[in-house]
Amino acid sequence: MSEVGAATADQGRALLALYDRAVPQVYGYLVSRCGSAPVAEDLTGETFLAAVSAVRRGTVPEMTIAWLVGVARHKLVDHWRRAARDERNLQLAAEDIREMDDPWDAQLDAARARDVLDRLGPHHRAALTLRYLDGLSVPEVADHLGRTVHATEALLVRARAAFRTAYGGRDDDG
Amino acid sequence: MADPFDTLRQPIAPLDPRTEFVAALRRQITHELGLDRPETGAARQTTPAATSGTPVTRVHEGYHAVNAYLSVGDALAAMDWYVDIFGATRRGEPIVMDDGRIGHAELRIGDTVVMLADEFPEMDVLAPPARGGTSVSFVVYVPDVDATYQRALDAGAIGERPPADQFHGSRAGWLRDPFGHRWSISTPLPDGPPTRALSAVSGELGYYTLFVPDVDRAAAFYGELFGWSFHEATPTPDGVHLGRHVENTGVPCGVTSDPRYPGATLYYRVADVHEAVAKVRDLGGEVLSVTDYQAGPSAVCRDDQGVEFHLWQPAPGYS
Repeated sequence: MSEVGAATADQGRALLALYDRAVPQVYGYLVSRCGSAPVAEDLTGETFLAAVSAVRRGTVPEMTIAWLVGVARHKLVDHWRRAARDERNLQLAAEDIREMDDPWDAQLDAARARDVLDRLGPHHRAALTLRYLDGLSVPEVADHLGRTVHATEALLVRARAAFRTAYGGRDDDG
Repeated sequence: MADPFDTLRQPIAPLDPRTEFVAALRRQITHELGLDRPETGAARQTTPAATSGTPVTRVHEGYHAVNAYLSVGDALAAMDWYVDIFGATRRGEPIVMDDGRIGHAELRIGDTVVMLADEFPEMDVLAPPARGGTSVSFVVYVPDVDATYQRALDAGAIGERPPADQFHGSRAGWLRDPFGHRWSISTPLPDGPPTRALSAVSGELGYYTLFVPDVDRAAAFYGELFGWSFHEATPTPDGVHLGRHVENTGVPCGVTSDPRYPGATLYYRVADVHEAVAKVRDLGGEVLSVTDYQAGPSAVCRDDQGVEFHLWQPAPGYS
């Protein structure tokens, strides 16, 4: 067996050894953000198969749960990208929301806020989830979404505005 | 100034997906990684045919692709027992080692060879008692399961489950033989599987509802505790709002507000709710109401001691 082959087998075994501890973390991360058990299962599957591909290509930086969650985050973004394609018309309407200044000193109720998040379009949901639920920096969000930092800032402003509208709207009928 | 959006920060709450999903995904990645075969990578390259997963077709007469090899504390006594109880026949002479232990012996039960030997602790070959139990069961067909079960118990076996008709078309019982091995003894039912094959899923928990004073607070609490995700439920036909569904639990559940009943209601799955309520009445229970929900008809019942439970016949798409 070549050296590369041996390294690959070692990393494969490391992935399997990590599997039982990693699955609840990856699935827990995904299900709380996409809000659907079947979608979370699909994405969990995609995450681990992507990990297998990375093992085969020898591109795993370090086989850890943190790395697997990072892979899961990319899969989640891909999922929202697909959802956005499916909802292109809806999304165009959402993008139409007037840009506005950001400061807002409301006290957000976290559970209700996540509920509101579930109702947003995929682009907005993706941006807000990466930025606020995951706590990524704006450049990191930009990297995940494949946008420039400037475009990401603008997207975040629109997403926050859409969120605020939805959150306020619920106030009226709740 | 603190950003109100900072409230959204959500650390990972670990959550187990369905066990079948976890097992299937493990099989898949193990296979993709080529780690589901004992051979090394080098061997795989040189002998692809031996590892391609093709089932074996050539075995010796009397053997099958998979054969049982039992380790027992006293091989000669065990052979006598299996001859008496399962009608086994001896196959050849046992191989006796220099120290008197049985190194190998064979029995035949019906069309199947069973191999056995004494314990060889130096090779970590140990009988179930030495390991505190067994994790393997044998399924053996016998002509009359009830007679065999009784004879086995009389001859020192421990009964685990007496023979009963099973949904898959056998009458089967479980026992532990005096040497610690577990056997399921089985006789096919003359008429095949019971006519209502759906009864296999009857009586399983299909749904449960938690009654709480405040649904939003419960959603916040259980959402944080277990990572449950909540979805608005469709209103019931009588206009009562159900509260919210939780769909990322093994058995789906709901949370609803009703100060009259703190606690939970269990919904047991049935194949036919009308048939089931008739049976509830026959058994001395009480049927309080039957309602057609979008998810399927459901009945509120009390058992013959007055304990309330619900029956639910899932509509298509609501399994």
